[in-house]
Amino acid sequence: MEEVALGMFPTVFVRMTGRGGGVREFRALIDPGAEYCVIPKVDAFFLGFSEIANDDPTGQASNNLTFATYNGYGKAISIVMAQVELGRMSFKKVEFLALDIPQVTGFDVILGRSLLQFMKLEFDYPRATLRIEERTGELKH
Amino acid sequence: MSSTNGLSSEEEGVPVELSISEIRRRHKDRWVAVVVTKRDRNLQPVKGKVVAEDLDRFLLRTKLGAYRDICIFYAGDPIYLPLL
Repeated sequence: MEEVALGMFPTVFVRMTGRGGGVREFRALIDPGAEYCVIPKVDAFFLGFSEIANDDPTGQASNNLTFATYNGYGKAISIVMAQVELGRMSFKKVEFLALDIPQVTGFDVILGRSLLQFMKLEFDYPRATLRIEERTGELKH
Repeated sequence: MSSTNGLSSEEEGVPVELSISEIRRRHKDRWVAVVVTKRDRNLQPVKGKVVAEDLDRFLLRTKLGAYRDICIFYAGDPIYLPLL
């Protein structure tokens, strides 16, 4: 992927394919400080992750995950997206959390390290550009 | 383009192709669902047809049952600017 405009926040359109073959595309916030990618629960459900609808408080799903934020703790169900496309780059089996972040942020999808670990990112704030390249080879972390 | 009743496609409520920047201008501060019609060399959407919009992003989803491939975004800047 070549350079894109950085804007007020680093964002990029990203396409996701879930279990059922449906596709949703979002303007996503790139957040290297986030461990996981995030998608709204309603869209996770549309993309075939029906376990999102299970809110039985007596059951603890194995993919139920507790996470820390700057503002406390939260819980969400982790899912594995079949395919994520960012420009000409395509990634299979990317881990997401099904979580509704406040809509006043203007974002409903976050790209965190579960996807960004496969990329080289260059933020150039003075020039207001963002460059994203696919990274191949061994991961160091 | 006018139809037989003299109304343009837009006046009839038929989605028309708009640039993403024009969508952001016309639907400012609303969540929009767009059928993408043109992409740039990075495969990022540059033009599309707005098929649904709403002030609330979840109410928007209730209007999208017929679409298997749809692009969703907020056509505005964050309402509450400081984000941490």
